[in-house]
Amino acid sequence: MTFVDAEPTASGRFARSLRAELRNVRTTRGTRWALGLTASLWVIVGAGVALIAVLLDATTVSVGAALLGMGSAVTIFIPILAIFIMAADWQSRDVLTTYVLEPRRHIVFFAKVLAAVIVCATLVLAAALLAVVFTAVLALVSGAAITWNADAETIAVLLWSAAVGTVSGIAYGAATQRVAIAIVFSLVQGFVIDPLLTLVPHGVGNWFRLSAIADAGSSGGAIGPALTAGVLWLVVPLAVGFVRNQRADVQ
Amino acid sequence: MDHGLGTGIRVRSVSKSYGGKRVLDDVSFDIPAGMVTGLLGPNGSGKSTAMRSMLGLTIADAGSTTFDGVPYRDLAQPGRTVGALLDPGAHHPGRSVRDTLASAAILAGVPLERARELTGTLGLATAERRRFGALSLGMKQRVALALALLGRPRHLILDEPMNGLDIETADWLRETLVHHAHTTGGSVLVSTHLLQELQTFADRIVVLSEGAIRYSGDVNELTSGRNATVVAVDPDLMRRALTSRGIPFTTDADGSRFAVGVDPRSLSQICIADAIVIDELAEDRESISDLYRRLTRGQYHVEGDVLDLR
Repeated sequence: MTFVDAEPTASGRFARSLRAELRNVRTTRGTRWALGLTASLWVIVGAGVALIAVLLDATTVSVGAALLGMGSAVTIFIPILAIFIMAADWQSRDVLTTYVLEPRRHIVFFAKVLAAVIVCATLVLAAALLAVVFTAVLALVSGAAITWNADAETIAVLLWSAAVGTVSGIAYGAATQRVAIAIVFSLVQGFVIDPLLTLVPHGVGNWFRLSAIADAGSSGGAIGPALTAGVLWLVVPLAVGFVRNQRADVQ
Repeated sequence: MDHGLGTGIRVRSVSKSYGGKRVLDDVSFDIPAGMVTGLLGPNGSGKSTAMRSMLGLTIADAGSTTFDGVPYRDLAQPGRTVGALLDPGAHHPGRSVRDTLASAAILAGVPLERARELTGTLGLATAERRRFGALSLGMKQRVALALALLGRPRHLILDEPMNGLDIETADWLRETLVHHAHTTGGSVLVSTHLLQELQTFADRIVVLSEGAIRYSGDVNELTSGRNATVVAVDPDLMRRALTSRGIPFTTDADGSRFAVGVDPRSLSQICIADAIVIDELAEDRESISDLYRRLTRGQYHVEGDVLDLR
């Protein structure tokens, strides 16, 4: 067997890296678990919505409610998936093989980032499609009418939350290079640091809460706190992660 | 401009420190095309760091490595130019053998059939679906070898490649490496602790100790300083013959066995000239193990005599 194709361009090398990263999402246990748990949550949300519709003998079923339920399930696991994509290779030291085969580390880094974005966007899209299909089937089975009440703001909040979750997962995974540490930090950030920041006098803490970024996607959010929080929780860890990926010795 | 095409691998003035501790100190050596080069050194001598820095996995403080004149990072097809085995355990434990190889094949720009071909060659076909983490050391080593050979690379950098392999596979690997170097003109760098084994198939040896090169050159030249031992029927006659010619020698406790600082042929000519009857004449060639011990000093050496485990 001889290999006869021409020397790859930079974009060709990036495409290879992206293909390999997307394949790894399917073949890595951690990401498979996260995807499986997301699907399980969809089933639970669907069953819950159907049960409520039956119990209340609903005359209408809402696409908006289904979308909110399915979308919330996705936003829980999106940061975890992004963390796995960015950090699993470092944790298992598979990155040694990756960097031998592609020594231009920035190509691998951006391929991982794009893989995370693609996977998370696909999940959001799947959740939206599932919500529509599920509502249609439920309406057909129960004889209820469909309410197309998924307004633009609900969709915008969902998409914005998914985007923030994706970027924060990428940032924490890249900065820590350890799946467990990044997931724990992500949880501590959401359940401990953010609530504690609300206790800071004069509302100063609100300028540094990660949820300020998510809030900016809704009508009640403000841009200023979203920017300061974005720099602190997204830009800085992303920059640290990029530099670490470029300079770290692979042991 | 000389791009060093076909020159093999050149390591020049590579230095690396970790927290003030010098691990590699101005290390330079060549791995010429068409030769198998052995990299020897005790634990902690810097072998693995040297290999990793050659591939950019460890960022060297100073120095450079080129592959046929090109730095690793600038190779157009790194996966098809250099094959590396550095740590057989460094793969995702939950991924199957097939997926591990397929991912690498995609990155190297190699058809997936090549990965399947190698799983067959290396006896991995029945383990294709098994999780990498569930494999034995020997099987992991085979996967790592398959990854190194995936892109039909011209240069090979292998860190302890015989570890965990059965005799048959180790023989196959040795023959493959020699064939690759001698018939296709590739460069092969192999680090190993199996010194006698390396002596049988390496063309050149680089000895590394405490982060510095102690020897770099031909295997045969390394042990070319030949001496002779002789047992003379009349030790006094032998002693006079050697002393009168100014030839250095030592004797054993009873004074009949001489270790002489000339080669056996010269010594036999002296014996004939002086009519010295001998019982035994043999070459006393310093073994590569003795030489290795003389050239190196282990950072992590064992203290004391044999350990009594009773």
